[in-house]
Amino acid sequence: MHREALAGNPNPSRHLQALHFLGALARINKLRARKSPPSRRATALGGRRITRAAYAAMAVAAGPRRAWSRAILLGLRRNSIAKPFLIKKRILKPHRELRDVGSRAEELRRLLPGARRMEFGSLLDETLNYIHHLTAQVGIMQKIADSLCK
Amino acid sequence: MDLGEKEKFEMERRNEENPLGFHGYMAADSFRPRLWDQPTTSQNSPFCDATRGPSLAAPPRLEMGWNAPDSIPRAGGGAAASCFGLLPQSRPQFPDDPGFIERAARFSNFSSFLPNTFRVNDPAGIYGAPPPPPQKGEAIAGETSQSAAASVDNGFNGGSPQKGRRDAGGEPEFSGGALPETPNSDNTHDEPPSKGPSSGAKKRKRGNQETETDQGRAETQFSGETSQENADGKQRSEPKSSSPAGKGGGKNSVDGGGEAPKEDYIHVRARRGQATNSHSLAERLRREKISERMKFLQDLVPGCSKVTGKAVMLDEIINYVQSLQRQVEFLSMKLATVNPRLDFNIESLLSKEMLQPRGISSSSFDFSPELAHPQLHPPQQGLIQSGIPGLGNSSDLHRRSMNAQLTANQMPGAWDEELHHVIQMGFGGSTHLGVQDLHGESSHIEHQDDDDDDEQWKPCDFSYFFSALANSTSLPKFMRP
Repeated sequence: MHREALAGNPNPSRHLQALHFLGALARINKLRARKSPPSRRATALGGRRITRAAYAAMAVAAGPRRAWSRAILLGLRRNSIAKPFLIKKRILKPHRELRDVGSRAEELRRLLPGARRMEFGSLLDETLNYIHHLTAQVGIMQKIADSLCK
Repeated sequence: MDLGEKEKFEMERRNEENPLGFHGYMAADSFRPRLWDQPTTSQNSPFCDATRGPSLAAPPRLEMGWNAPDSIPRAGGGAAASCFGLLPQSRPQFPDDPGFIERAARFSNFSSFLPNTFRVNDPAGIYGAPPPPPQKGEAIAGETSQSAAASVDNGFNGGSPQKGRRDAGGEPEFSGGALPETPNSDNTHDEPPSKGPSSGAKKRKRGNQETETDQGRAETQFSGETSQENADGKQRSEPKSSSPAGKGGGKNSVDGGGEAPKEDYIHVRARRGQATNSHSLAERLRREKISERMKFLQDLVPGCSKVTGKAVMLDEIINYVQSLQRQVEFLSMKLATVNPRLDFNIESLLSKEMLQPRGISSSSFDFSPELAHPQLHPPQQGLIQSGIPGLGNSSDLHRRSMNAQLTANQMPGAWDEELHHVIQMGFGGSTHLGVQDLHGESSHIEHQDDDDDDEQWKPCDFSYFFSALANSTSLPKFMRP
């Protein structure tokens, strides 16, 4: 099999991520097909489930070494199904310092799962990894959606 | 006041030729808190006490070095008091007596002892100004302990005539005992600068001065020994063992101990003019790390490459992460709205198979396509083929890859490859739209190292994953692992 040096490969577990997500998607679909007739509420619920499945797939693919993946899995375990991932709207304060790094770092800490009390250097590290996995996840989902919508 | 009495006492004692010579100074210093207990120490400026505090550990060692219970009384009473017993008194007056400072600087032990402590503790930096010049007297001083004692005494005589004569023939064993003491005291006094309130620039300056002077000294005197010590890299414990080299080697070891071990551990080399204490080294390392990650993020986040400034870049990063999260949500909603009848049977099958441990022989993996096909019920198969045009091909490809790889017993690799084909054929083959950059990346990645994936293919990972998924998606009972 063709092997390539892993140097520069930021997300080696990309296929794993896709696999997990597809499996979860299949399960969700099966569940929904079995359970309820399609309605608006069911669709919303399914969307939330898929979101959670996406994050779970990301987290599992990232492995337990990352703070954000651990936080996601823990949150998934704790939360009930009805609770979605919250994405708060970003409110820019009007008089914001142009050079204020600290407040932005705080914002990033709030945005990243499990990074609430993280030192700045590791915060950047986690952000790097998180962005890699998130982009991969978005790509996977986009492909699936495109192939399904066709 | 008993101080005056002591002075008198010392004058008397000084008249007797004190064979202890200069080394009494050390004794005086270390014993001083005992001698000048209440009035003088309270009257002394606080830095004297502060600096003497750590060096209080000296007396027992000193006594060990001296061969003697009989010399101790002399040291306590006579030598200590006689040589420099006046020191605590005269120290607060140092600013008035710059000549004494110069003398002290010339004086070998003084140069190691006094200027350090004073430069450390003096916020005005009065004593930091004259760096102790490397002396020939010291070069002589290093050669043998006896000559060290003699030259030191000579220097002392020349420098401060008001203190009286000293016998040049001071006992050599004292020098053995007392000289190595100086590095210790240096150690204790060199520690404070890192925590000291004085500014960094001053610290840096002082450090340079010390290193220069010490290097000069080391070259003149103990080039061989100091180089050996530097090579050893564990200088802190050295000075006790190397008795005659006490001055130069010990001093150099102190400075070398400030730099060399850190370079060993942190691998940060301070450039010229940069601070070298551990805190600043660590801080520099941290900053380098942060800037490096910032660079990576700049490459990763689109539209971030032209931006300068950390804050703006962080803004971009935040926006990007949020947009990605929104995209995930949006896409999941979209996936929920599209035909929900689609069953990814192959995928669930795959994941079920993957739960088996890796050690099982390939025969137990009866996920051969012949067995997999019956599980794809005809209507579902039709659905899949209608929904995902490439999957029919992918099942063929399955078969090929499985047949090829089942013999090799490299299941993870096979799975990986096959999944890749599933994705590639099923989704990626037809749809490249929208995610061009991603796809380029994935094609760059697609044949990746299997070893790295093998770690991810351990069963424990999957149990982790499935427990998470089972809670998150509330699977039916039979689907849970």
